[in-house]
Amino acid sequence: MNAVETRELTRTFGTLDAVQGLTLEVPEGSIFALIGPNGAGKTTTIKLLMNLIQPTSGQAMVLNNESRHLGVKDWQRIGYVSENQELPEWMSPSELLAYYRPFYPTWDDALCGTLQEALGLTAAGPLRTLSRGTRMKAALLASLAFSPELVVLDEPFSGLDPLVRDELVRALLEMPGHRPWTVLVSSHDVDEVERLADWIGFINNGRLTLVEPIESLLNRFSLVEVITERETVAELPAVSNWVRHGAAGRTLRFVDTAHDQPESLQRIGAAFPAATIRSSRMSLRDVFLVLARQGAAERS
Amino acid sequence: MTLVRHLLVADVRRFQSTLISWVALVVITTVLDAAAPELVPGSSLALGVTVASTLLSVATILYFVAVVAVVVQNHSVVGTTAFWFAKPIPPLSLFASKALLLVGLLVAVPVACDVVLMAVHHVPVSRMLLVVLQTVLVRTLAIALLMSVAATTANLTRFTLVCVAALVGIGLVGVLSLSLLLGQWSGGGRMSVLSTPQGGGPIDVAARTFDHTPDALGIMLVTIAAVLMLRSQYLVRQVRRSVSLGVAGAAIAILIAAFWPWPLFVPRQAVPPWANNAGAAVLGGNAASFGFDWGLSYIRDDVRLARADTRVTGFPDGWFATARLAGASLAIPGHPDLTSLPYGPAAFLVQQNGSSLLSLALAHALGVSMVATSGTAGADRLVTFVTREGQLSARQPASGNYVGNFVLDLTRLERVAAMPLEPGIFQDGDFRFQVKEVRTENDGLYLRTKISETQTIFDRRPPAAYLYFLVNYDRDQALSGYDTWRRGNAFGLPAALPAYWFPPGFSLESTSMQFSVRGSVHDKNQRDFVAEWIANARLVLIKATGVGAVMREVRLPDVKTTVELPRRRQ
Repeated sequence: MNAVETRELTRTFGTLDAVQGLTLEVPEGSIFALIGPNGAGKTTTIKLLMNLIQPTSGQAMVLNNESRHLGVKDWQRIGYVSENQELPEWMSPSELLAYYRPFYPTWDDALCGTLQEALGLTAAGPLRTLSRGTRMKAALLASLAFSPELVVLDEPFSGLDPLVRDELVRALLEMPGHRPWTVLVSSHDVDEVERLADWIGFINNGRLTLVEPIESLLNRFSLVEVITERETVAELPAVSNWVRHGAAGRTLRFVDTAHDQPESLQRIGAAFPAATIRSSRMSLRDVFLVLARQGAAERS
Repeated sequence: MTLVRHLLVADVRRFQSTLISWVALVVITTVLDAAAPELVPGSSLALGVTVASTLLSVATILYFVAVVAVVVQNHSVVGTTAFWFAKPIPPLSLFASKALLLVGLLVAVPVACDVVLMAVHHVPVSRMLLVVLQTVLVRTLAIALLMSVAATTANLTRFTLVCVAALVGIGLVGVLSLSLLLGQWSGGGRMSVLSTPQGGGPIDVAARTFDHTPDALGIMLVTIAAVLMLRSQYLVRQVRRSVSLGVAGAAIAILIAAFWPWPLFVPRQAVPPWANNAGAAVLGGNAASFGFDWGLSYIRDDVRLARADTRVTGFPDGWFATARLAGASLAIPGHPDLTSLPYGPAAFLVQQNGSSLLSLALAHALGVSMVATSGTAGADRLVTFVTREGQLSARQPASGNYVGNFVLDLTRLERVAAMPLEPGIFQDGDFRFQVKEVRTENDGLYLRTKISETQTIFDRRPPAAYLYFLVNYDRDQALSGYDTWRRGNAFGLPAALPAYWFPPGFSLESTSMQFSVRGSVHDKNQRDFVAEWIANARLVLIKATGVGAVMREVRLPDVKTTVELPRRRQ
């Protein structure tokens, strides 16, 4: 079962194709990260899923309901936090919780207390007087305290200091609950995403270019260094899975995007017979940069 | 309902200081308006209260508009980032809570103040209910319209811009409508113009016989259209769609109101039996006095008016009428018949012997032989024909047979009170006349009075007005008073609404009346007679009641179509 499914989802703003033919499945119980550079279409996708804007064409299903028909009953099962969403600045965090509480039949005061403790949310006073981190914690707490089936986070870590980011990630990862819940998070803060997510979707120029489990992705991508005996650097043969990453002195660097295949090493050895070859596992940040540069090159 | 209450309570907490400020503003304005008539006119305190009251009235209107915008936009209904979007807050519950808060605040509080004031001024409960109903409808309409603008704009700046643009648009439509209306003159089309007695006479009861059904219906239907638009915006949040719905709804509402065929709130008027007799209220004219002039040259150069001396017979004592043109034709040999536009200002009528019908009726009602009025009851030459210059010049010089139809608005005059010249009160239903101060001076008498009454769009009683006379029965003389200073407050309506086309609900005004004895009556035997004249006088109130109208025809043979030019506008 999928918590979120889209089929050829498209949204244009005038001549700008913000999201183009996006087909996506977010498995139930997964923590799915939608990553991509600024302006890639992440927020537009989330807004389409949350029925904040209407698709130009295509369809999105959220918790088995078409997104454009999401209503009060559906919002009682979805926790949504966005960096762009305004907050009732005049309320204190406790007033915010008291305000939202009657709208959620599944609101759990005990869970709310536990999360409040985990997030260290003790601040009083109106939200407008509090730090960005505290306000984001309050928003997240209000979106988790009713044990949502789906949590949708749009750039939740943006502009937050590392300590607050860590607290948010821990709260999400360690959130107590009795049923499987799904998290869909959009972000370009890949370090936090790497800690949090088990699925990755890479979106660029409004198109989804990659979807797979994070472990599989990190196994597949590898940085290969080829050090030749000669004075000049080796040329990179045109192999579809190899992406040039740079060269310095006698060292050629490229990314092998199919390094998990058994014949990968043999193929590299055959291409560079008299060279020393070293390969290393990449971080998600490095993978992100490779994919983003690739997208920029394609666009230009 | 629980959620509506929850949202309402949250908003009340949020806007606590705003609510308190509004209540204070309304209460203070009401107290000042109510206190103003109690103060001596011209005193520094009265002046201060007047200035403060005026400023607060303006502040109240601005606050009214601002409160609606702020309360609605606190939960923005446009864009994609409002905090309540993607939360299980039922949009219609939110709308209901906002509407309840605004109606409670902006309608209930002023209405409560009105009710207290009306109770203080002994307005009967049945009249109070009508005033309250009118106030609720008008204010609810204003709230619904402002909510519609606030719900389709992102912030206060845009809200203000749209409101200003709407005001400018309404002004332009008004000017355009007026131009089109005036343009119809040259096209020879029909035009309906409110007729009032020439010379601004004191008896304007005929002007109060409007049917306000279109007003009442329009207010209710436009409010419903605005509510439907708001419902759409809260549910779907698509500004273009909601605005289209609202504009279409308002247009349909206005069309329904404008073409509503059944008058529901027309005053009940029963033409007295004597007036239905063909021998009563007979209007006749003098063909030799018929002549065209440049009567409307201050509006248009190409319009010509014919006037004629007219006389009326067959009026019983205590009655008078004004006459206005309903239609006329001129049959000129060799030409097609010329038809008049159905326009004509009303004119006071005179009897065969040249006596003013109004003066006679007043004298009868007052029970004296001589009535000195402040120059309003004289005879007017009745407008008998209205046409275009082009149509007239094609028939000049010529003469023809004239047939005109006139509406005679009948008014009954009766004495309702004779008060001693001292502070006192006269009450007639909702009408309350209070003499606050009596002051005798060298040339006459001055009264400071407070007058309160109610008028609503739902009124079906015959229109009535009160006239004030100082009467000395020993000398068989009466003289009318005139206002030297008047200050009014129309409670129950936003001050921006002009009272001349819309009944003001409850009105309270203070007046300084002057009765100039020396300038009105004379005593050859006694040089210093004013004090003695006043000492034996009483203040008499005459009630003028409009009881309906009858049509009368005037035929004038062989009238001239030449235009006499006393003066032409340069």
